[in-house]
Amino acid sequence: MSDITPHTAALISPILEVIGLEQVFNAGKRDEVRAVRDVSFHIATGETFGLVGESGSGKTTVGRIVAGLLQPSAGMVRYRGEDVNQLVRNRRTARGFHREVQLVFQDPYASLDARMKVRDIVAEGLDINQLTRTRSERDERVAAALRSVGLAPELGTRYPHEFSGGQRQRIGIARALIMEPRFVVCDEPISALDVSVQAQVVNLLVDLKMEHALTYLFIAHNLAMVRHVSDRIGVMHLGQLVEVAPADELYGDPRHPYTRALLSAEPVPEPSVERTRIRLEYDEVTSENDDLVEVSPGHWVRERTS
Amino acid sequence: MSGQSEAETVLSVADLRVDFTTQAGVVHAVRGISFDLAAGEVLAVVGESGSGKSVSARAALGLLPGNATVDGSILLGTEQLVGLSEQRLRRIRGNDITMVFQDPMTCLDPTMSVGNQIAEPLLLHKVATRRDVSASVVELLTRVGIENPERRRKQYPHMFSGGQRQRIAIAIAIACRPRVLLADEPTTALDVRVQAQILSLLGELRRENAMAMVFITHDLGVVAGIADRVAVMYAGRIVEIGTTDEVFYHPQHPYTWGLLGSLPGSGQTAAQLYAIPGAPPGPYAQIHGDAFAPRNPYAQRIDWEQEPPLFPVSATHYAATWLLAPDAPTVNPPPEIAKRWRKYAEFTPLGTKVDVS
Repeated sequence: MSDITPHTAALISPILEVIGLEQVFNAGKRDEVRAVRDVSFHIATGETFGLVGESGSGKTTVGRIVAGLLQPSAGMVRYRGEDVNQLVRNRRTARGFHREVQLVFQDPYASLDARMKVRDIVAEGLDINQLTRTRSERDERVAAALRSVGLAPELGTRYPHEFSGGQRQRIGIARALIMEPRFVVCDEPISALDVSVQAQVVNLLVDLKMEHALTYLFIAHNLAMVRHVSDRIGVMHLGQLVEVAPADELYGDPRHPYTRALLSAEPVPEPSVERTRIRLEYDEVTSENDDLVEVSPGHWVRERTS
Repeated sequence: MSGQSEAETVLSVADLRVDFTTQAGVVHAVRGISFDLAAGEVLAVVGESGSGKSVSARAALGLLPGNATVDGSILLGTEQLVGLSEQRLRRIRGNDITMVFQDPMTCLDPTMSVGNQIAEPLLLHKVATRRDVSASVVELLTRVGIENPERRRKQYPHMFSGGQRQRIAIAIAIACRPRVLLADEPTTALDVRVQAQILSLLGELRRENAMAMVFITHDLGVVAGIADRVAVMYAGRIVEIGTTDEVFYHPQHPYTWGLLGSLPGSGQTAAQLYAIPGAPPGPYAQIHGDAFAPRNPYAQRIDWEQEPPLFPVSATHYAATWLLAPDAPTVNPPPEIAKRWRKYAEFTPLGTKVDVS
């Protein structure tokens, strides 16, 4: 293969491999839920992998497992070749892992401690891991993190409630960034923000990725925004990955009936399109016998194989 | 400003102002808005949190807390809703004018079967009698797409999915065949496929009953599919209002430009999205001149001094920007907006409405 497509790049140097992931909640009980079923994908270093799906599709659960916050029922996540489950069990390797793999949460109102000053929120990771030796070193790191997300360092003495939603999300990003991560799981990072502010935060995430050579797992339900930021996209439905493709190909040539239904339901800001839009339905549950089949280079669709 | 001059006006809002008195000061949530709504028409009200869109709707139903002062006029037919007694409001609310909220659990009672909740307005407004009310309930549940209505009417809200709960809230809202439905972000909490179903249900109900709708949302994609006209709100004012085509394809206000331009996918290929700088003013912000001036790359000196009036663009289209003043400098809108203008020129000659029927 001479061309390095996003997909082949993923095979050459994956920073993250998700292999046969399963997550069962309330196992053996009446309300047992198979939240994640046989999910496998790779993410290449420097890539943005988008994960889309409706509520209950398992996308956030995958994100939590990837970040080492949840132990999978079966399967494995390999971060730079090592089993995340093993990494987080050992106190020494856990520190390194949690420093390199950071999370940006959906709700900047719920995820920042209201009683802490912004500079202490941002510095929390440094403090817990005792990563700075002097006060002035800590102050410098905090100021640099705030500046890189477009906030004046002087704002560090204030409390979260003094900030707007977009600014709070910047604080949440600064808190992740100060740890000098390689990999960031962004779980619905803009869906709680005002429309006019969403573009600012997305632009910031795109900039930071370039500046700090980051890799993103970008989880969202807003398909247009996921397409904008992602190199490749995985579509989840009822715990399964039903389709994985380069972003533009997924939108230009969706193959799985669920992907088609999802794309047809996403409203677009074009009255001339919306007036004649045909919505597709999809109510089936994909069978256990279905497998991801490569229909064109890098484009995988779950199909019946047996 | 009537959108469709022939149709009867069912709701007429004139210079509506809502203030909240709080310990920290006075919040001017709605700062003088006016619009007419024709029978069967859908007016989408677009704006961010704090722009005053929900407060305006709640003012119409007398659903504001005690620290709110409402000024101006809200005419439902010939009835003045501003200052109406609670007793009289109760006769109108749920009958002639109703509301659907973002989270259906805020209006559904968890301790009461959904059937009894749908029956409540029917009995209160004497649309049905005790004897025939369950037949009406079953009919309404069927109409909003709940399967097995005979069995399900006896169940409680927690036994339904989010989308089904919103269907039930809609059944309650349309039970008395209201002339006006105020829908406040009714699909924001739903997944896109369920959202599409609820939107098509609302569209059908509006056609069947000639029900007019004020559809409050921040999602321009949703607006594109459902609205006849669009009002864009910013900091308590309507900054642009027009037919859906006018607002989407011939927008005039820089805020509308920003909203439309910042959406990914609509022809944007650059890595960076067009982003409106800054954030909307907070509730206690002192506003001098145009509230949008600090975020407006096209602001002139006058924007900082004086609030712009709504300048007419066409008989149905108005925008509150000094760029439309007779002596304003000519500016080029962002490329993405210029593209929309070209599209508008293609399918409707400026200022005229093409009848395709």
